[in-house]
Amino acid sequence: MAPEYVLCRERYLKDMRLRIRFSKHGPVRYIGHLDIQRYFQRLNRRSGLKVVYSEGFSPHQRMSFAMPLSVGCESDAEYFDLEVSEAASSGAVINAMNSHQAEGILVTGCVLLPDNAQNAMASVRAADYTVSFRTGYEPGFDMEAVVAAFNASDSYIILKENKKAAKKKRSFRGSDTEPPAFKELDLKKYVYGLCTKEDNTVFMRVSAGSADNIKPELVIKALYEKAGK
Amino acid sequence: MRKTALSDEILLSVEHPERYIGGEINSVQKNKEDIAVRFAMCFPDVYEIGMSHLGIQILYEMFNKRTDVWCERVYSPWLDLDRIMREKHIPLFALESQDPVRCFDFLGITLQYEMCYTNVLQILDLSDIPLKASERDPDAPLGECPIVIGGGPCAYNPEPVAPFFDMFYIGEGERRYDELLELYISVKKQGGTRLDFLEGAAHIEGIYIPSFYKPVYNDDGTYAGREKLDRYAPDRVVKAVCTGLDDAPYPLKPVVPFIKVTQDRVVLEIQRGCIRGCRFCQAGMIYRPVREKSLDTLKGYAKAMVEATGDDEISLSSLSSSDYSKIAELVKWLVETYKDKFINISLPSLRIDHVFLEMMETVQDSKKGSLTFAPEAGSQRMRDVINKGITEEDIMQGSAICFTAGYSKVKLYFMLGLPGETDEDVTAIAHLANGVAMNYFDTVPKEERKGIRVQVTSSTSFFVPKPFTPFQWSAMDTPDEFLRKAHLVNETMENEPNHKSLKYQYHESDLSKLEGVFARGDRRVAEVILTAYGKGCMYDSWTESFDSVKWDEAFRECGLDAGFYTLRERPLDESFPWDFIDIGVTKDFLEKEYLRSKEALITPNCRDKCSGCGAARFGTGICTVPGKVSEGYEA
Repeated sequence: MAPEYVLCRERYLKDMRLRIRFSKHGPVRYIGHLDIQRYFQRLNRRSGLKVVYSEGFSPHQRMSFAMPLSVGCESDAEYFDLEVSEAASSGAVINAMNSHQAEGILVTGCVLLPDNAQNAMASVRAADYTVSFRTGYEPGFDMEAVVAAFNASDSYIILKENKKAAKKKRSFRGSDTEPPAFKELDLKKYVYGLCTKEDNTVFMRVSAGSADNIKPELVIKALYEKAGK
Repeated sequence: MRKTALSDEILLSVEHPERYIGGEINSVQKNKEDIAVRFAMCFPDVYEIGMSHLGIQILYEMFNKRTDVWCERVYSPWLDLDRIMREKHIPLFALESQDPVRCFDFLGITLQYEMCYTNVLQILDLSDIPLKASERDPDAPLGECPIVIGGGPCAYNPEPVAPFFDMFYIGEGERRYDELLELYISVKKQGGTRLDFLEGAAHIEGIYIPSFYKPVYNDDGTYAGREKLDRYAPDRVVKAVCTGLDDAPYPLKPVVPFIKVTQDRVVLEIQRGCIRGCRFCQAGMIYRPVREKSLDTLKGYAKAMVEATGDDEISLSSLSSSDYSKIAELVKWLVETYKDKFINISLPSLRIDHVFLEMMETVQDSKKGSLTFAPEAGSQRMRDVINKGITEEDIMQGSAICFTAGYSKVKLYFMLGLPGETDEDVTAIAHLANGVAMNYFDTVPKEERKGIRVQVTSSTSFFVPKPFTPFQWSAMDTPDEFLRKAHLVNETMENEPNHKSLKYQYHESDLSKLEGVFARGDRRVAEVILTAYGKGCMYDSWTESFDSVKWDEAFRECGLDAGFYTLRERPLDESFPWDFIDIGVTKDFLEKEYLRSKEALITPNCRDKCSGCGAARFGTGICTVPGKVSEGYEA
């Protein structure tokens, strides 16, 4: 049971920054990141939260999301920060939001952030993924052994697409100083944990965030390569 | 957790998978075991367009209020998914239950514009419903194959798509659908057949069963009338009119899409119908008489809908919002209620005058976008011909007010190819645009212009005569003539003194030709639609998928001449395939208006003076205001 935080404007006398955690399961996993943001803007209004808006001609809710989740992925814990001018308690915020949710989306946590807290995006260091295989697409090799071999190796060099470079390449087409579109990377350094489970899924904890973000596809691809597939 | 009809693999491979998963806020889930009637309500275009349509949301609310009916939504799968569904034989499904449409009791398809007709066939085809109603077994028990029912403005001339539908609902859905659903339930309970139900439905006001009639044609190809094929077929079909709009169903909990759709806001329908009587406008005739909703009703709607959706914008909807008698009061209330809640108010279809500017000032802080005027025609003579009821002075005054208020962008909407249009009328469009630009220099002193150049953007669409308008007898221009006129506007514009401030856009002409055929076509046109669909035509209103060559082939193969439907000025005594529908407004009135248009005579609007159009027979709206309906005009 998460501790109940008491949140009140009187105590802080200024806007509060909340970090909200939510889960996303079922068909809603096909809702993209931008649409999830729009979804929560509407949800906040439906829930009657006292959200702080930005100044200017087109004021928007002061809300900032952590990492975008790929379309198609389910999640137990996604995060965003939300500024509110008042809120009775974390439980009240959670209840208000969850009574107006679409099926499959649930707020599972809400904490008040200290003033010096980094924003949600900057706070992300790692992400846990569970990869399951669809019927008919199971790996045709001993995954457990390959994972063990990967874990035992000292390094695993892969070529990762350099997105910034790829973007630059598009805008400066034909220039002589094109940055390389791929960079070498030791995947080993960014995989903090990797194991197989009894239900034939693969669990991994990988580096995540604005720098050195490792997508689970990269690891799976590496495992397939290692297995010679 | 709900299951999706489409596999992960497919959902990940198509554009915007959110279109197909359902589960949106306020979408309705029911237990199908408790349901007597399953209704699939379809807008035959892509999700983002279909989800923006108010009419479906109204019926969705109305149907789902009943415990014995479950209404679900269906939209056209986009071309990418369409291909996959055909390849893998995946049946079309409704969003809520993700169940195949084929197992529903009804498939309702709204016909909002003619260019969706091939998409109607796409929907039927993907649903695995025989494309022609005649191929659906009349002796089969109800529930075996959905009853395909059409509605919406294009149903006022249903003939070009008549063979594809079991029935049409002519008029406003709020009025008669309960009756139709009750009938279905009772016929089904008694073990009746499809034909039993159709024959029963023929007695319900507003219901038209096309298979009960066979059209007959004269030797010259014109429509002669029809033979009745069923003992219960009525002579005429009277449109269903909703008389108590304040008490009518309204979607207070509209479905909120996950993706951004075209109409992404709370929509308040403030009135239905229009007092104006513009002679080109079908909506202005078929929705008569004008009926307003009360302020209290609208306030209640706004509160409930904002709460239920979390939308950040409220938009007013009507054919001509300025004519709503309490518009200023409503806007004031909306602004006061929502200004501190970060909810915008948008005001389309407003006449631009001082009252409007005052409202705009309260609505928008200081962001000055562009304002739109719809003079519809360039010359005063032409505006009188179409009974637009707006003068050059109105436009100049309106634009002067805008410029003084700080706006520097104006959009002007025109039509090209209006009946009796001369080259002088065409070039007048450019002159008017130039006049508006000049007006800027006259009203805004040089020191206040801040280096901003005034921008007047004119756009023209090609006029398509529609049934149930005074121009239903008129000839339409050929695509070449349309383009010549568009080029003439462009050329004239380039030679105007203020040409640097003028911009001009026009639409394609091939699409208009087709629209013209469908709008006033007869049942023979259905074969062309079927043929074109067979050639792969679909999403014809989308430039990227419209293929005029295939359409030309289809006309040729069916031995039909598009020009027969569009290019003839029809004689006054010609029978029309849509004459059997009674919209209240009489053919006599339309004819009178047509003749007045030829003399450029203006007809006053309903509020100034009743012209006896015939809509008073419905005994509602403006026709019931004491002293409003002229003597002798009552039904």
